[in-house]
Amino acid sequence: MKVIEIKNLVKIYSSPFMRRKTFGVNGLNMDVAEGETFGLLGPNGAGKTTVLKIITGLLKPSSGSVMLWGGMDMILAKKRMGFLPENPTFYRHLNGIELLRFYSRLYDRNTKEEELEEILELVGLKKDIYRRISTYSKGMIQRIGFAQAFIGDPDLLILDEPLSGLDPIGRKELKDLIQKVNSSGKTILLSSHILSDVEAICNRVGIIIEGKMKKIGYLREILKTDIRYTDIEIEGIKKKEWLKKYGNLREEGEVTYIRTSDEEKRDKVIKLITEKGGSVISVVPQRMSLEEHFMKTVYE
Amino acid sequence: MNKILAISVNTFKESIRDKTLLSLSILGFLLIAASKIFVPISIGQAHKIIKDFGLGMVELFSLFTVVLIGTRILYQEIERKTIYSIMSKPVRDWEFVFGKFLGLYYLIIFIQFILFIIFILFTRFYLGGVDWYLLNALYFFLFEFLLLNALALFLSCFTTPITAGILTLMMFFIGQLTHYLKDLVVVMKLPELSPIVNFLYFILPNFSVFNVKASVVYHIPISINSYFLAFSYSVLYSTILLILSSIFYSLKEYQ
Repeated sequence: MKVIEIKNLVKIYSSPFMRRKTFGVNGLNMDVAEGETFGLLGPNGAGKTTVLKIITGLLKPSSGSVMLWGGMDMILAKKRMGFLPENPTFYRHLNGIELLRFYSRLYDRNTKEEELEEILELVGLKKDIYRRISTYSKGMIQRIGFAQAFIGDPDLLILDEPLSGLDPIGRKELKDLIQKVNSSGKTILLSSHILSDVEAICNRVGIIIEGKMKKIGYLREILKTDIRYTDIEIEGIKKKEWLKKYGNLREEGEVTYIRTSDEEKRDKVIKLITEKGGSVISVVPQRMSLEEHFMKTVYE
Repeated sequence: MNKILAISVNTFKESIRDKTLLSLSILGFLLIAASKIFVPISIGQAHKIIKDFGLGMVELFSLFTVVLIGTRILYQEIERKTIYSIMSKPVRDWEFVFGKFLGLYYLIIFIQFILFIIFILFTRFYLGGVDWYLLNALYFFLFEFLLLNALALFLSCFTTPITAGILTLMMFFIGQLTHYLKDLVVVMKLPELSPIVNFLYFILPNFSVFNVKASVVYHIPISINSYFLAFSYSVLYSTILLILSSIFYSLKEYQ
């Protein structure tokens, strides 16, 4: 089932006193299926946040449609959705548990106090529940942002730059948390600049450039398509000169590597090595990273 | 209802920590206390002058609270981006507007009660007895500022806090004089202006219906109709303004 379905989405920003119009999003199409972790990528100003804000009802589309769970009423959909905005800010006069209590009351159902404490424990803020938000560090603000998004046990989590501004430990912990949440069957839509994180978390990605979806697909399929070269690790071959015509030869102690970008040469050299009494330890295709894909898409 | 209550209580808790409010309260207390300076210069009228001055101060500081805090209350949520995590939850625009309105109204009630207690204690201390008839003024103040609060919120839906503040002040002072508008047409002998004046008379808030200060100070009986008029006029006008505020607010986007 499709949780989010976006068709021909256009968002125009215009000022009442200026004639100039700016396209935030320009004819965007995308969908997110149930249980997916979808990563929205794009350079600054590409329209990622605009798309997320339209989905959460914070912005209205100029044209096109956004359907949640097949056209569910927005208020009902919001009950099943949790949103973490980019660089979130919260009421500074409240402490951790008071903040969650406040947000939980914005849902029609009663959330038990233990449930809120569990959420705070999940995001690693259990010991800071009585600390004022005004004394929280950036990392803690991000964690409490995750916590408020988890209220109401949402089926869909929308996270805008969830790992920005965090130290490596914080990033690792929250990355693990996202993966844990996803493994419990929840759908996640996130935007991020940190491509290595997206590569580690998401199973599907979309690259937005100037408000348009330039590339969309499963991560493994996108990465599979472009094998740049293959590294073959071999041993047991004494005379190695003949190997040079099949690729670049590199020796690291007892181990020899051949790097080839030709599939025919790769198959042929593997066959010859075994025939000459050597052994192939590993064959590792080197694919383009998501970052390289991203850069290629941006400059295409 | 739970959502509106949550938003209103949070708004009250946040506003009460506002530094502007603290400064206003201290100033209010000092000015009520300063009414003592009128005692030596008021020949036999000390009681009346102190009461009149005290009531004026309660009204003035309630007005400042609405103008300085009330007109910022919606704008702040957008400016500080706290709105994102509220409006992405199942909250309707009108629930948010009503919640913010109520939160500010709790603050006004709180301020008026505090200033009134100070005022009553002051009259007890300096005038030798408590004049409970003064409490009638509190009833009218509460409804006067219910309406002014709704007006400030309405104006802040489509203008900046400064503009909304100036407009609220203007409306408050014009509203004290709207009942003179009809007399003006008769006195000036300009019947052709009558439709415009009538329109303005009905559209502009009429704050004179809440002005019972003279009656309270001079112990002139206030008719039951005045109590009912103040209540019904304030509630009806405020409801209309809140509905309009919700409509205007629903057109807003959170960029």
